[in-house]
Amino acid sequence: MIEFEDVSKSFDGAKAVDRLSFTVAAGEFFVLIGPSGCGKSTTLKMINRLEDYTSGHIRFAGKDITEYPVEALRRRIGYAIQSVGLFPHWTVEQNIATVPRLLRWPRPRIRDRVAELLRLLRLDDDSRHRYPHQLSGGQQQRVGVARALAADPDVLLMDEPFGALDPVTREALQSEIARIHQETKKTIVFVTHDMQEALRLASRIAIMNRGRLVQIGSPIALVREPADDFVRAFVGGDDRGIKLLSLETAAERVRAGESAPGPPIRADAPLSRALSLMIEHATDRLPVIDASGRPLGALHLADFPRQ
Amino acid sequence: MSRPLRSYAMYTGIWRDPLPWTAAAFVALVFGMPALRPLFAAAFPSLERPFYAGASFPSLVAAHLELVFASSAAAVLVAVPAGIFVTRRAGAEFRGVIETLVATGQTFPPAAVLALTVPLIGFGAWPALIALTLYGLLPIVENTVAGLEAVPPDSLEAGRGLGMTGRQLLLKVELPLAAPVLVAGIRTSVIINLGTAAIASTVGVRTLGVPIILGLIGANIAYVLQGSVLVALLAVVLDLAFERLARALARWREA
Repeated sequence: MIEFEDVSKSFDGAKAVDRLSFTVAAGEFFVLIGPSGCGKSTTLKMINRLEDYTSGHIRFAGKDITEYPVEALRRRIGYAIQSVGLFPHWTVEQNIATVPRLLRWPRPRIRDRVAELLRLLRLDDDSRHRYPHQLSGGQQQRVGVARALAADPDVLLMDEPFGALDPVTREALQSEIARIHQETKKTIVFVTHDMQEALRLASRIAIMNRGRLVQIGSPIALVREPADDFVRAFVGGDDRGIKLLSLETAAERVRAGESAPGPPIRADAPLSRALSLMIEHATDRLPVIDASGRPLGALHLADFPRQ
Repeated sequence: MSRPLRSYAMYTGIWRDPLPWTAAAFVALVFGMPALRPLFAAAFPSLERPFYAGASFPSLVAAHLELVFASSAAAVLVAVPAGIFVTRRAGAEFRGVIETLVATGQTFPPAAVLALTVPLIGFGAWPALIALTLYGLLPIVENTVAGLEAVPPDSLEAGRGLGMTGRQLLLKVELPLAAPVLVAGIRTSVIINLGTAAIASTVGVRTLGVPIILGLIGANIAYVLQGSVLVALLAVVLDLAFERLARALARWREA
């Protein structure tokens, strides 16, 4: 869906982005991560040409991005940013309808699409006539994401979209975007500096440092086999074991049919939570249940270190 | 849920809002001035002619407004595009020059501009129009620039990122958001021009300045009073009308 080939950007001689090559497949949740100033946001903004590049090629849907008229390209690529950037003089409905209106969709189709997106982002239907300043930060970002999705773009670019939210709201919105990704199968390119967020959401992570791509791979691969000390420190340093546990679920280690005393844990819960429960309740075994509460088996602490 | 409250406020607002009754007082005074003739005669017994009758007051008001609107419209047509131009990337380097030029336009006293233009293009409406237009540019340019610069940068980034063209961004986002500040500039400009237009009578233009100037020359306080009360009241009415317009343009803030 998106292809970077040897892309560089120089700023007064310094390289902001240095010979970047990678491919984002259709339907992927691709996370660009790295410390501040590593070039991840610049890389993201190259895709919709808010930033230009000095050399190399970027292809979108098989064609070089410079072959598209720039506005047409941007209308096919959803864009959500940390500061949200809602238009303060427009209602929620008008904000969400921005791109469909630019594309001159008929009015009834726009109205239906707005209703659909309000439902998708779990916003009240009454909120469509509110103005941005009447919404909480979390609701504003929901509207921002809805606006980015409005014209059903092929790709969604998100630049630290949840960075300014409180931890509870951030967690809620992470769940929403994970669900939306599941439901819509959209290709998402997501920039963050929060490794926990990246591990939770990504199907693949690209770690950048000083304008270069350091390592690219699935969350588990990065935690298990960091390419160098920088990646090792970035993916959790001394806590890598715990990070690994957070990437696997109880279902993967359950001993089927066995029973155990203590508080039950759901099969889809991460092993890190199981470990936490064991410590809290001073036990080395937990009963495992499925989503409807039926017992599935037992989880043993002794099985955790298994590869 | 806020709707009944708001309509209640609007109902009581008819009495609290000064615009309707100030406007009514102005209209009554413009057309009813001749009825006040005995009052002026009693107040200024030493004056041989205590009531200005050289022209009807409605015709003076019409001429005055015509001059103000023509010069303000010209000022808006020059100043708003100039303000837009210097806030675009292509025009950024002209910003200093243009701001200095319009500021200079305002440092000239209008009387001096009139004195300088009359020998060039003669007496009449044109020198007055030019002087007033130049004089009205500064607040509009300044407020256009200030309003456009106050547009949140993240809204601009989002607009561009979502695929708005520069023109769409300007018309749909930047100008509507800048409108309250921009209109405040036009308001200042119009109110200044309203007072300054009276001076244009010195070069033979018919305005409400005619009785004022004649009164000053002939030591006729009654004439001065009749002209200046109308100018002052007109300024109040227009100022209130602009205030209402500015509020309407920023209604989304109060929702």
